[in-house]
Amino acid sequence: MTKFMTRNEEIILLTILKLKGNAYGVSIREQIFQDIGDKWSFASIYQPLDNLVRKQYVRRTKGDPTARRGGKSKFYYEITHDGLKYLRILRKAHDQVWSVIFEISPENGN
Amino acid sequence: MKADRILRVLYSQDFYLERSGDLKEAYADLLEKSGSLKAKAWLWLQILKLLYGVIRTNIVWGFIMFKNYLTVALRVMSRQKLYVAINIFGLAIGLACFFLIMSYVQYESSYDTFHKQSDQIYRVAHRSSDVYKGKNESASSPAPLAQALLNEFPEVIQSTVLTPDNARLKFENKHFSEKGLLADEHFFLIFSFPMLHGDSKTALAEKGSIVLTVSLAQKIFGKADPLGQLIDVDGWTSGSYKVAGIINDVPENSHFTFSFITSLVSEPQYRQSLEANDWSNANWFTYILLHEGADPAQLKTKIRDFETKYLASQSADNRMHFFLQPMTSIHLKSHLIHELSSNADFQIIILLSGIAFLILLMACANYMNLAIARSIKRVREVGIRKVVGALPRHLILQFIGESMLLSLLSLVLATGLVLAVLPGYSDFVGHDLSISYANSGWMFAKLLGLAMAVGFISGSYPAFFTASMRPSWVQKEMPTGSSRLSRFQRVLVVSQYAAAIALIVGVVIIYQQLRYIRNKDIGYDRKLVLVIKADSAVAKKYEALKNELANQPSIFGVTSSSQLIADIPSGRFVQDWEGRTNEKPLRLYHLAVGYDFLDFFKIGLIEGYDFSPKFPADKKNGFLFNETAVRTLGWKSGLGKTFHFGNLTGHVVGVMKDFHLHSLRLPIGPLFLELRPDWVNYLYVRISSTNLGQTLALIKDKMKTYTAYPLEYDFLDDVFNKQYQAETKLNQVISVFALLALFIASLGLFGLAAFTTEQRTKEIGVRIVLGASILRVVLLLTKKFTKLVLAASVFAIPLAYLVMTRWLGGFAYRIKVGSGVFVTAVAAVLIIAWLSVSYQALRSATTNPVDSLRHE
Repeated sequence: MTKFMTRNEEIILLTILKLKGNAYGVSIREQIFQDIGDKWSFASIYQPLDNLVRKQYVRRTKGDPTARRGGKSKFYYEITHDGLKYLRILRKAHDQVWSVIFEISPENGN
Repeated sequence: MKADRILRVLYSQDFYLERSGDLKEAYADLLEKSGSLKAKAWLWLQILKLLYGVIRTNIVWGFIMFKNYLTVALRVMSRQKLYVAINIFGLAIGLACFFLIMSYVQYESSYDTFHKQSDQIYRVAHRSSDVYKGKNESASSPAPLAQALLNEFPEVIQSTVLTPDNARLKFENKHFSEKGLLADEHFFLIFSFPMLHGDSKTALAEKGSIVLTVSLAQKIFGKADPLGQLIDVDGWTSGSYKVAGIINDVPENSHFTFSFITSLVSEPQYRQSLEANDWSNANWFTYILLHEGADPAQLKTKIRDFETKYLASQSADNRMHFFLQPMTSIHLKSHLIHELSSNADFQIIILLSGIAFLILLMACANYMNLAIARSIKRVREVGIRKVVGALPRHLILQFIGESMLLSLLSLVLATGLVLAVLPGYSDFVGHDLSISYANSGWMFAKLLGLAMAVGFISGSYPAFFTASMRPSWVQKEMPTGSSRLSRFQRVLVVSQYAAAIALIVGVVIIYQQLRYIRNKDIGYDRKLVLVIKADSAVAKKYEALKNELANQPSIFGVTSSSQLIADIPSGRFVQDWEGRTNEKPLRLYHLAVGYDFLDFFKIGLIEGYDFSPKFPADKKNGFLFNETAVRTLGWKSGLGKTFHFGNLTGHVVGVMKDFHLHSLRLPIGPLFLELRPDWVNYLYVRISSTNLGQTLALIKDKMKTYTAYPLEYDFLDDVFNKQYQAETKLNQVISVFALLALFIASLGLFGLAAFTTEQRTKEIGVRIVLGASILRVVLLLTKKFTKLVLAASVFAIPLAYLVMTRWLGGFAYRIKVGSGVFVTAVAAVLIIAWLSVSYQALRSATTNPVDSLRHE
């Protein structure tokens, strides 16, 4: 059974995929800012991240501490097999839904 | 850093590391770009948002779920009112019983703990070779012991001597009979009885000084200053005593109580014992205070050498052996000769606590049983919750929460019950238990804690059971097994009924023994006999008083004795007797009596004659023996035989039939009567049954001319029955709890039967349609419960038999336990079980099959 997810979770899951092994709190937040243009609060990043981990779409691993972090470890996020599978299903569903709507193109909206 | 500390509180270790690290990194980035102020503001905003997130997930959602659980719980309850009522009622009774019993037990174990150094205080008692009233250990000790212990052992830092003294006090023209003590000047150094006026160090140091409790002082002196006043005391020794101190009233939970203390140095017998270094007369009570941390076991071994040193005059096999009793355990565990008050029976306390737990467990078992039965109805709800994503622990929490809610509701009822019965209960146990609760929230806090614990315990098994139900059971409708009881349920029902049967057997046996005691011929006529305590003034003019009373038409006879006939305490050693063959001196019970004693009590003579003024020589050396005494001395016939005791040579002038000297716990002992019309402690007056009140008033009136003290009297029958007060109370207590136990068990069975019958509604409908008779259906439905009750009796009967024969072992004269008791108990329980089950069975058997088949 697939476990459903929210839009925020979806964005974060895709960002993790995009960051290819260098996904941790700060980098995820930075990437989202670059892609979307919004500065998300950390609270709104951790909440979906925790949910993704609980749903086993994302694996969380402890990394090395750095001085810039006050000697605290980084925690990296990595997409799991289940996560990928779910993304494929989601992509397919999106394509199906969006394919009907030709009039709207991403560049000149409304 | 403050922000860091907040994060540490919010998250577990790993999450804290991640989040704190991330924030620091981002903060450092921002610091370079936008400066300290902005970065700081940003950081705090992040923290606030994180905080909100945590609160929202944990509490807001928790609250929403809680609201849902509560709604569901209330809906389920309102849909199954019968079961809920049974559960709440059962639990409330269980809680109330438990609370009442435990508050009594707690009170009984609080004895003597109010002394500041209570766990360092010990009483020194002694064991001797001489068995007396079935015992050879006495609470008393010789006079020089206290000082000798203080001298010999460094760990003994204080010692005191005391002895009880029931005396008459006189001040101006007011007379009082009071319970008092004689004690030496160290008394207040060991015991914590705070002194309000006067100096506790010197109050008991001088001859002729007396210390009063506040309430006695008020009774005697009113508002006047009592210090320095003179009071006449007529007790161990008579004399005038000066008030040297006022202390607080003695708490009820003290193993010795008193309303005054006179200084022990005033007592000549004590002074003589000290001067003569007399170790043979154990007339005193010695208490010692040990050093903090001193080992009483060590002292115990050293005390053996102490005995050889100080008791050298006593031969090795007749020597006293001293032992220590921790003071706080005296009330519960000490049952020696010469106890200062009648102590509690520790086994009874244990038994009562056991019953309290049992009843509470039965109520819990009821809850579990019904909850398991009912859970089948909730398989759909559980299924949906699981599908939606509830984890087992969520469900467990939900169902435990429900049972806690239920036990809280029953707590409300239990509190009401406790408050309602507390006054009567306090009367019954003889102590006002309500005082300690009235002013504090303690009672409620304790009950609350208890209710929560009960809710948790009784909710846990059904919760696990319910949480383990699979959603797929919904489709299958659980066709098999739904009306059958699980093994766990059967165990619960069997143990409930086993407890009820055992308690009922106990009640019946105690009742039979008490009836046996009441109806047993004890060898003398105790009906309508008034016992009057005589003081020295009455004793002096006994003959005149006797004549005056005996002349009244409503009075049939008057006699006197030195001790109460119902419980003769004292004995005399007979050193030599006719036909003695090398035996040691024997102790015979001794009673000094006035003329007409045998006649008055209708005690038969076997040979010889009763004391009579016609034979004045008997006053000197004539004695009456009972049959046992004659046998004990090895005589075939006692008449005319001679014997020696003290420095007297006596003749047996008559042998009387045996009568009971003590309670029926003890066998009849050897007794001899001495004629002493001058030794009058008790007057016996046999009165007519008509116009009792008038006769009593007449006696009171006549007595007034002989003594100024208020008349202390009692009926001999009541005195006799008081010896079995503990047993009578025990019987009442166990009866009540047995009934409650049976009630709770039946309540549970009723609910269970209602449930299983409901599950089989369709089956019953089909059976009736196919031609089964109503009786058949009822039998079908009651069969399995009958089996359970019979199984319960298999466990209960041997247990009850063992416990009750042990209890009966405490009586020298007792009933035989027949099989009848057990049959009756089982039959009674079975009938009650049938009644509670067959109501349901009958109802479903007599409903129209059309309705039953349409069920659900």
